[in-house]
Amino acid sequence: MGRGTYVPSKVSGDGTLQVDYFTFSPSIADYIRDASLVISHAGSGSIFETLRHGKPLIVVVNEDLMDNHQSELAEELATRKHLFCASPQTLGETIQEMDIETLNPYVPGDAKPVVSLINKFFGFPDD
Amino acid sequence: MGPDVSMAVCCAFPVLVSLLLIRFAYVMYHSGHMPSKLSASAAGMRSLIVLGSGGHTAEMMNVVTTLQKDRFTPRYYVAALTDNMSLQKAQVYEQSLVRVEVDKEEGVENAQFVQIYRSREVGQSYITSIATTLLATSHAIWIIIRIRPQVVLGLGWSSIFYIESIARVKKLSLSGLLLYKLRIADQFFVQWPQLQQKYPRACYAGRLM
Repeated sequence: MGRGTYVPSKVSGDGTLQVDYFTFSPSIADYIRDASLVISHAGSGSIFETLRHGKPLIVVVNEDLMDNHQSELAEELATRKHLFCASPQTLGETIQEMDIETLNPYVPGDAKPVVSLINKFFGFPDD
Repeated sequence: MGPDVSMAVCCAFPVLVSLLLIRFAYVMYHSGHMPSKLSASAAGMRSLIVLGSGGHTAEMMNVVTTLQKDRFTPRYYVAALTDNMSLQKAQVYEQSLVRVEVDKEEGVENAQFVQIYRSREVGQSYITSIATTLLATSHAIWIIIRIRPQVVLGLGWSSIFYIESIARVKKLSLSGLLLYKLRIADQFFVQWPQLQQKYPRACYAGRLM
């Protein structure tokens, strides 16, 4: 998958789990919309796209990155109870112990204050 | 979405370094005073918009969609050569503008798309990144000299607006830290209040995502 050599199987061990995979999909939003739980890496794109759809989310932090800042965002949002944060080692435990009812809905941000300050800087009227 | 957030730094860093160099030369030449205030009647300002990848592009596009497009025009979007998603997203957005504003003769001419060498791929070794960073920096300098932007979103020329990524909660990225410490940015935004408390000269104006 991706730049790795591992090729996943589309059938799980005892055939009870339906598995599908792809390297890239232009419409990942459709998959998120159909899901009842999303498990994702800690990239901000995946995180906010899932939160925007109001789906329960477990974020698994990639611990091998240079200047690891992925965990910062995941931990902050976990503290605010918008998602659950796990590592590859604790993922199973997190799934077993999580209570989705404890999650707070995420209120999306707004670019208007930033744009309004940029306009103010140039002396443009605010509208 | 994008495979990795740290890619944004790799795309932005060469642009930053070359901007620092050019800005330094420019400031020396003009003995300190930058024409930063423009009247509202001024024509559009050439804007360079630096796109990271994945979630960073989404953050920047949230700013771009909110910007008054007639003021910030033409727009030059920059993304890494190996990032085939970010420019595509910007192109889709610019094309949607054209459809809305058919009568105003606003066209794709108002938007240009530029690809740039990346200073470091995710997983690339630190030793080889020195060479690729040098290459990426020279390429970035060439692009900036060619475009001569008046406004740079992400990082800047005559007016610098730097927005630290939402992924940075506790500490700044390398690009952010350089701009902050060297006081290069005219406005420096962070997206978390606790980061603003740590860096008091930064401005917290809410989250983009």
